[in-house]
Amino acid sequence: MKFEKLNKNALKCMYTAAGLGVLVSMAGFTFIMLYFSLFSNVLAVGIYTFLMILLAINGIISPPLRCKRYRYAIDDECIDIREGWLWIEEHVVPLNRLHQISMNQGPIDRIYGLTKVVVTTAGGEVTIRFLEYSKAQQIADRLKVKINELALVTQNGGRHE
Amino acid sequence: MNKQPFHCHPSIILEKAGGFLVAWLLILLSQADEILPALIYGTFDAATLKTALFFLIFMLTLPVLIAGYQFLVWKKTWISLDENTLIIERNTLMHRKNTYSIPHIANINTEQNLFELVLHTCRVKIDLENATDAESTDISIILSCRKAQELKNLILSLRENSSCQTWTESSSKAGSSVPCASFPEILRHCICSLSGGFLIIIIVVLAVSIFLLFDGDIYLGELLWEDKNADFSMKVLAIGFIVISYGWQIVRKLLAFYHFTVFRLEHDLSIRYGFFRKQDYTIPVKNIQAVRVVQAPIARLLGLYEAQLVCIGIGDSSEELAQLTLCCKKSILYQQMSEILPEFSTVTMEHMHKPVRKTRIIYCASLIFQLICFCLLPGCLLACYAESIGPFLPGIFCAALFLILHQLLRFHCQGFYLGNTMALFSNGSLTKTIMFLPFQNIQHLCLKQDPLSRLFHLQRGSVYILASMLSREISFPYLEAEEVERLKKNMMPWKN
Repeated sequence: MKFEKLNKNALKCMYTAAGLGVLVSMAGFTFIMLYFSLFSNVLAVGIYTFLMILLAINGIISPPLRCKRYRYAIDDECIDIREGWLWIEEHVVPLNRLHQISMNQGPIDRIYGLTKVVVTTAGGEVTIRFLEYSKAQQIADRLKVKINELALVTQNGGRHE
Repeated sequence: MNKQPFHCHPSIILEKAGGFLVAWLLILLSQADEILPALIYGTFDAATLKTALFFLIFMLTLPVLIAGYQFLVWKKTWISLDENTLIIERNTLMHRKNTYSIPHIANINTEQNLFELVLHTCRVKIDLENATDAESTDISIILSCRKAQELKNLILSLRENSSCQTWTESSSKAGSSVPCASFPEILRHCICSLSGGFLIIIIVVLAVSIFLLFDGDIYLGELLWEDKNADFSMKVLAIGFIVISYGWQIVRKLLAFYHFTVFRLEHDLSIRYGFFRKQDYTIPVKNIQAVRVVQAPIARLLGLYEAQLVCIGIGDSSEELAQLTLCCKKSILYQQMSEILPEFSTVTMEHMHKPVRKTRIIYCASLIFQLICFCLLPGCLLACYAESIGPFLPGIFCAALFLILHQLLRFHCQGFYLGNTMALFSNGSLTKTIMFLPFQNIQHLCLKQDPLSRLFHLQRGSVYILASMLSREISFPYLEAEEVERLKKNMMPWKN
């Protein structure tokens, strides 16, 4: 099984998303500190500073590590996606379980020309993220053909084995 | 039953308008003591009388309008069967025609509430094989009992003719059945199947109540029960109320499982139970995704097991369970399963084995982390900032004890077996759950690895099946790389 990695735009997209997440979290913590007048409390300031540093480090370190770790493979039988940097997840989806394929694009994805391909089985959804639009289209078309082939096999009374 | 279009039973009008009519009657009765004397003694002025009359006319015509609308809906709704489809057509203001494919019908269940029992009608509930509507019934029709049975038989025969069965190797005898459960068996099931959380609540509530009742003068008693002069009988009444409300839970279960019977038709399982609400499920064996064997805390102490089916389209409420067996000994469970569901009896729980020894280190590390986060850190903070840590020590000690016990029980419940066609996964803490899952029913797989498990080359995760939201994800414990590969291979046996 040949795994494919993400391109440079994916890293930029991850940085933007992580940066926004860090900014929102920092603003939230600062608002709580101000609202409860906690900036005069040494312990609260200590915890606040520790959290800020942790968030900043996460915002800087996690995107390149996540991008480096993220890979996906699609062969004639299944889709395999590996993601995460500290906590790693691997999703394996047999192609003959596919019910639905959809392509989604969020605002940050659109800036960098990226798309998500969401594959749905009877048990739930699995997403292949940070794909270039043309690549995503290619994958969606390929999976669509595969679904049709499998539907024909099922209609003819055979099981895909 | 012929295939001519037909209506639901007219009683559906009353059932649909019933809720509103009851609410209307209650409002009217609550206002009666004010309106009646005024009407009788004529204490109205002309303007108020006009308003009152208008209100009265409105209140009297509203139920007629609602009932009339429901009558119109009933009159203009037609149900028909056309080849392999079930069509429900409604020609009211909102014209709707729904066509359902009979081969894709997952289950046909019938149920009767008290009102339907009196009228000799029953509700036919039809569920389709799709995950999006897995939480609710797709089609619900009220018919007379005879007509409902005829419709059910007709749909079953049409489905039988049009679908190919997956479990062709079934060795079960059509007509195999589990004898109708006796009262002591149902009572044992109701007591033994009480969930862990429920038991903890009962024990805590009873302990606190007794403590307050007999030791009401000490600090905690004063804190929670401020009125020291409260009547003793009121306290007893409060405890009695709690005990009765929990007792009612058992009685409710007892009535729900009354006359519990399971029997095997050729390719279907038929499950019947209920006293006030009679339920009759017909579940095609090919739609059974997994069998869940559950051991609630009391059942674990007594060595009892109950089995439930995991499949889509078994009613809408939590009481509507596809129960395969009631609480019974392991040998009886195996015997009953091999008679009525041999497809899932190819492996036994004895095949299961514990995760590798390295897993213990991960569980210990996780426990230490939890103890630091929830006991040590709060303890240190309290020691620094509270006047005295003394009053908090019992709480911290209880939390630590709970975390240790929970982690121990969780580790003890872990187990798995990967056969050629069937996997067994065991999970839980107070309540132990063992899933019997054919590999062919796994929809997709998710493997997870944290930094520590990566060090030991272990992976845990979940498999996903076609089931309701609560049963869709089945977790498995830490597996070694070879076992993970085996799981993947068995999930896709056609792949080299």
